[in-house]
Amino acid sequence: MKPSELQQNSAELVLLALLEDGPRHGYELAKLVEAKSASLLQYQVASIYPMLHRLERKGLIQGKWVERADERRRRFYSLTAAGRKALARQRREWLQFFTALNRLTRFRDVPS
Amino acid sequence: MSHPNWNEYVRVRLPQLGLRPERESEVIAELAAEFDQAYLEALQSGASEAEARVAAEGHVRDWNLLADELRAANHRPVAEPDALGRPAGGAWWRGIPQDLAFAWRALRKQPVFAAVSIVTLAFGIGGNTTIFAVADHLLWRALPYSTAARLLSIENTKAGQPEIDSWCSIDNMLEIRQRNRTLEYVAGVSPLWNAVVRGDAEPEHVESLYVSADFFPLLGVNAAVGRVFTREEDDRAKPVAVAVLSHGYWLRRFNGDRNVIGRTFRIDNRVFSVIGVMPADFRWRGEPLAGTATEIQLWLPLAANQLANSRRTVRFLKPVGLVKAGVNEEAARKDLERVGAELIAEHPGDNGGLQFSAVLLQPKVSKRIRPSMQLLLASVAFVLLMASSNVASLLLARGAARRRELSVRVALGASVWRIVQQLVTESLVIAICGGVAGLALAMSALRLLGKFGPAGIVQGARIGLDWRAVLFTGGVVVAATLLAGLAPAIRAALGATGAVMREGRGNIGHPSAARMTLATLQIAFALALVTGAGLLIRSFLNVIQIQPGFQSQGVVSIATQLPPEPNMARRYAMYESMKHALLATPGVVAVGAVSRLPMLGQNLGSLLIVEGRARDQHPPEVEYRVATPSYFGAMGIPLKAGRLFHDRDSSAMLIDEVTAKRHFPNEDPVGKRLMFLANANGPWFTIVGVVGAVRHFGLESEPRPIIYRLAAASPLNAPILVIKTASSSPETTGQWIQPLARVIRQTQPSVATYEMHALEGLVVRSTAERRFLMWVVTAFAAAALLLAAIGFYGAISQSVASRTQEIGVRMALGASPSEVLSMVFAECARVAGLGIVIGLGLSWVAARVAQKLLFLVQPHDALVMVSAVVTLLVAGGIASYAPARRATRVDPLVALREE
Repeated sequence: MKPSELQQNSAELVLLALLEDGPRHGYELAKLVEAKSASLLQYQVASIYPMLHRLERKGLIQGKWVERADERRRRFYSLTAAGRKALARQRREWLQFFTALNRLTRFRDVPS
Repeated sequence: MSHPNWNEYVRVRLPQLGLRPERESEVIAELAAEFDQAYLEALQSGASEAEARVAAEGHVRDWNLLADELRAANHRPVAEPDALGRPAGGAWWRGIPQDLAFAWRALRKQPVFAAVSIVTLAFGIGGNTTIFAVADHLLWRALPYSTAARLLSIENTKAGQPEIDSWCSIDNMLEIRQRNRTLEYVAGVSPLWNAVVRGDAEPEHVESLYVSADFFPLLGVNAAVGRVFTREEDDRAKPVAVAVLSHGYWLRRFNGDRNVIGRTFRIDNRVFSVIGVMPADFRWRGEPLAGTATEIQLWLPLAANQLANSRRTVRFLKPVGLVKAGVNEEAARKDLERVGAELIAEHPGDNGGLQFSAVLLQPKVSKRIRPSMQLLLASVAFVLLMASSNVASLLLARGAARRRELSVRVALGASVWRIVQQLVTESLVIAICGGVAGLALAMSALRLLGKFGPAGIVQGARIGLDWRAVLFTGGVVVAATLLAGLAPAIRAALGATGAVMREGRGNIGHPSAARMTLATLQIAFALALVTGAGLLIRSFLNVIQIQPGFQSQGVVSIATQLPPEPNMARRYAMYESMKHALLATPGVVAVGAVSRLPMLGQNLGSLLIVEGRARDQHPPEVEYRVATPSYFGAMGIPLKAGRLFHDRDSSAMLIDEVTAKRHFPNEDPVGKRLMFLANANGPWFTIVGVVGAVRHFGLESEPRPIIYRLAAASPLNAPILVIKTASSSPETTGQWIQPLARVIRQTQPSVATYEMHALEGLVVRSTAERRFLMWVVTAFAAAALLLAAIGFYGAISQSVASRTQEIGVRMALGASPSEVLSMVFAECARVAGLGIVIGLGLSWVAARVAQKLLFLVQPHDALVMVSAVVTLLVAGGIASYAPARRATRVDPLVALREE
């Protein structure tokens, strides 16, 4: 099975989870997604920034311009309190969903 | 090479987002940082500056798509569906403004697609709005009064003869008014056939009705100037000669003078004074209408009718009742039947053989036109279905082309539901544009119908678009949106998730297969419409083949009204002097006169006694006409037996073939004697001859039996002059009318002339409604055929395009162009064949339903069915020719290289 089918609704959860450990900027998030998913997931520019903007408008994350010595000015995003709650809730929902799915399909028992 | 200015790079490429300027530059800066990082990383991994630049620039390919997404994300906080794609908080509608804006931009990017879809839907929606407005006007709101839903026609018919019009006597009407318990008002309406207003100006025929004082309150209307009748003025013991004018007549005859109240005029020898003027929009649309009037000009109190004190056997009016609020129609009908039974029991002599009942007036008035309107409504709904499916077909193709864009959105986390909503919104925008254009189309169509539609039905009816029509159009827009947009949207959304394409290669899965299914259905619908049109065309051709029983060519008719003249000989002399003056006019061949003209549907029944026969329950009933001897020659009505009238044949009678066949089967009627039942002590009349049958009630009605009496023996107050001229075409006959009317007025200045016809026109007019129905349904069928052909063309084109590689391989393996051609045609034949089979089934059902409208044609007429199928096959052949040719021109090398 290809990842595109799983990507469908997971982007929000993925981004929130990656921001749990601390602030990151868009480029870094895209790289992390690719690296941690062993290239199974790839977020394009046209997807990741609108998604971040949307999460920001919903108050789940907050963007902040940060300037460091000999580095370009970048916009870092961090989780808000609402974002932490949303992340917890989404984790729960996905877990329930996968548990249900596993009961139905036993995909964990099948060797990949 | 210097370090690229990524800020500038992004600013130039990214389309305007329409955000606050600070936010806009913030977004640009953020994207520039992305490019910068990518560029630096590429340099660090050893790329040259140029290579690094290319790598960084590859991060964004579709700037428009990026801008759309950024705009959508930044404009308004949107409640997104939860992680599993369920809409958040049920607030699915919150995304609508954003979706509308997005849809608008998406359509502007594809103007050809948008224009074709909008125009297609505009015709479908406009057609529906037009027919709805006409049906609303003629069927559902045939009576434009606030009380319309509670109006009853009180029926008084002869038992066992439902086909004969209902007429009631004044005694019965007044007693119904007294004795009923369910009606608020009961009014009598009676026609005044030949009212001529005389005053200072030229004598003038006006259309007028006698009505009870209750008539106006019953309709919930009042006078605009002055007042309407009081019950005291409508007392038949002491009637008052007052009159209410229509708005139009007031403007024309009295120049809209507000001081008209109290002015007087003469009708016959009576002086009436004006007491009121009705509002401009008031029309009487119930029954009866006087003559062929479409608009009543003068209202007189029923009590002023000379028949107001007539016996209970004289049935000359139509009663209308207003049901009390809160009482249902059924209760009112039972109540009236009870009163009727009492009246029959109390007056067995006068009311014997009658029956009393009631029906709602509105459906009764619109009954004749209802089957035609229902057929039109159904046909135009089919056209909308076709238009919607064509747009659906276009949307399917577009959905397939947009897979990448939609996939990105799915990757972003949009749910299937969200994408369906977005795509349906796009269809909604198309349908709304189509609806607006459709309203404009409907407005022009209604204006055209008002000018050129069938006379007496829509012509001059002033049908406009009101809020009901606009509301209906809104409903049609929503229906079109769902019909055209829902299935393609679901398909495209599922396609974007990858679910459909991978799981099944079955029929539904493939867009060109879905379009084929649509094309099949379109062919089926088109066949049903073409068959319907064919049946109506055949019916029409059958109707115009019917001979009316007279020679209309070159004949002019002019209705006249003589001044009051009790002396019969002097009355006849007036006619004679007009006749001689007309005959002295060059080009006039013959002149006759008659009491009722054919084709106008006016009846005047009489019951007969045949000498030597027992009087039974059902005496012979015939139409009664008075005619001059020269009438038959002028009209070209042939003599079949015996002889015509002599000039002084006072006891002679002519009968027509129908009377001869029906009432004198197997015997020679000539020489037999007849008497009128109504005048059972009167003289006997001798049948001197039999003339040809004449269709008095239109070409489609079987001729009714007619008898003719000699005019000299019973001179007419209002002879209709029939003048045969040397004219050879309908146009030139029309030009004769005014000069001949002038001759009459110069000879007899006190004679009023009105209702002038070229008889050819009258015959054509009797087919006007059928002709109109035929043309409109044929136009709908043509539209359906065109839409089906376009849909078919699109489906085959896409199928050929998607099989380009397969065709290329076949050709590379040695298939000849003719083999490829037959492969494509085989596919076309499969689709068309299935469509035709379904369509034949549909046609069969539709024709059964519309059977009432057919004339001498069977609903499953073989000629029509075969012609319709052939028409569809020809259209299908034309539509598939270009794609098939394209298939044969596939270059195997190009096709294979693409693979």
